[in-house]
Amino acid sequence: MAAPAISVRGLVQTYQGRTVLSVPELDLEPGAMLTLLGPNGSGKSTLLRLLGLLETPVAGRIAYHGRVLSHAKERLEQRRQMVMVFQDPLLFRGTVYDNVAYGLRLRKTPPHLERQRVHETLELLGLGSLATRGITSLSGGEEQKTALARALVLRPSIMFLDEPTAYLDAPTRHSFCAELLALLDALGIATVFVTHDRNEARRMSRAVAVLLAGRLEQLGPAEEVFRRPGSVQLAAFLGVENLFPAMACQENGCTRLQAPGLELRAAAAAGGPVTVGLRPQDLHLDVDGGASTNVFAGTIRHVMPQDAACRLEVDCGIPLVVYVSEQEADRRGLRAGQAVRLSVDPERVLVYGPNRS
Amino acid sequence: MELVWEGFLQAVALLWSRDRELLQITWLSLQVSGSATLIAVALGMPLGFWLAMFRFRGRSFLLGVVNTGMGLPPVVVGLFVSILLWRSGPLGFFDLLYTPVAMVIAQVIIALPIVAGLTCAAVQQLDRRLVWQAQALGASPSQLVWTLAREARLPLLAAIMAGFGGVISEVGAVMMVGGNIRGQTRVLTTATVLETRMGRFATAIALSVILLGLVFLVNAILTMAQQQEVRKWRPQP
Repeated sequence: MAAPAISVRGLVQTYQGRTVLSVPELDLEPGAMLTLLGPNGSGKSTLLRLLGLLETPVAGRIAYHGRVLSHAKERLEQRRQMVMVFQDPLLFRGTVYDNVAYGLRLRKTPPHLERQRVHETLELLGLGSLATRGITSLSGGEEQKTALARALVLRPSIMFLDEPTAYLDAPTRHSFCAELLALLDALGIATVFVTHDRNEARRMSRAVAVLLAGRLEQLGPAEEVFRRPGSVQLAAFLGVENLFPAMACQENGCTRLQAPGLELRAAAAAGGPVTVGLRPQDLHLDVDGGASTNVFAGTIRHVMPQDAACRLEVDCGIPLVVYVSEQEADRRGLRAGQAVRLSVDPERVLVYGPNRS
Repeated sequence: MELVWEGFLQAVALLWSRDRELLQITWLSLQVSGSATLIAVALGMPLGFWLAMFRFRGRSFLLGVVNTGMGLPPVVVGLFVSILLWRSGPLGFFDLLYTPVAMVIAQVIIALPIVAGLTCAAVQQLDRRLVWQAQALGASPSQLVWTLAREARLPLLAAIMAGFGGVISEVGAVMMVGGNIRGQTRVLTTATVLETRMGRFATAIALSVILLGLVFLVNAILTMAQQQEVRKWRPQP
């Protein structure tokens, strides 16, 4: 098997004595895509700059294709195999063409090759007609695409994207993301994508690494990370809106969880005081009484229509947040004050022991 | 008022006649201040970049020294350079006092902090992330400096012009270390002082007009560069 494109071990970075980042282990396979997800200030950008060789860590090592680089010259060589696109387009003065040609000129690419590659890349991103335009005359989307063209023209083996969609409005962002994904996939470029938006993280990649307060908290396939966040903090960040304390005890092969005003069963967990997590999308409206376990009666407090779903706040002794589809909400005529029954699959109940909270 | 007007007319006549001595004085002024500026740029720009780009021990102290130096009184510089170059002084054996070289030395000391300080400010006002962006696109250290210089070219041009403007118009230092010797170390400013003291207002005014013209030229170049930049930055259709 080929060595990973990037392999991180025991990476630590401090600023003025404060540890801002600690990543024990992280690998990126050639051509793969990894999303770094975390709130603002969680160290994602710092990690990206370390991976991009723009900063030097205080401890740990990063190997590129199995090689650890120590000399400035080697590091420059490796940096020239990779490229980074920031949140701001950070374009240089001049025209769109000048910007896209910048990296090629640094690499002393012959002029005819430079022209060819720049125009190819501009066409690829649909910027062909903008080549001679000054950068001050571009729209936000065009600026962002120019920044992307400036990176892609270098045909990097690894690409770092630091929230490149932050300044785009929602519809543009969706199409930009989709185009970008297709493009990176087609070009076989290993990519690390940084975002603080968990929906975007889910859209973008199969593998997700979550950073909280400078620590790499969880790393795995997106579905696993989002369905079973590894800690209470992670659960809170990843949208497990229902988190409450409970007492756990074993009962014929499964766990009974006793919370104030609510009792439910989970697949298996340790005993004692725990924190229970229920994802709003895992809770169902139990209408026909089909469910036998984990059924709670409650009253709807709020109905809040959102993008794709309807957000309900239901008082079941403790307040629970549930997502139902807009269709379902309409069909049932859900409204505040209505009595409903909720149910949840015991397999989907998240239980966090005291040591992990 | 009549004095000024008559002096002005005589000055025009003097300039028109291309008085040999006048031309020689102007030429020496340009040579001394021009080379002082060049040396100050060669030393001060790297210093300014260094101060702006790196964090090291004693940086803020050095920055304080440079910023103080930007307001260094020329007579003080003249005094210290004189003491150094005095026959019995530490550098006396070079026998440089009252030579154009001494004047260049003094003016370098005046211009260097101006160039370094304004360079540092020009580089620091750039977006810090431009450094990362340039490096991430593959810039080597020297290519990075070149990129930053290009991004900050206008304030850098202003730094050079401020250095030149500072030394071409100063009188204290060149007077003290040059001695205003006719045909050897007499420059526009020292000659103006002398002619005024001797009551030859016409010559003094003629010299002032040339000096003003030079300062105007310097600023015209800067203004033109700025305006060209503004035109370039205007949105295109």
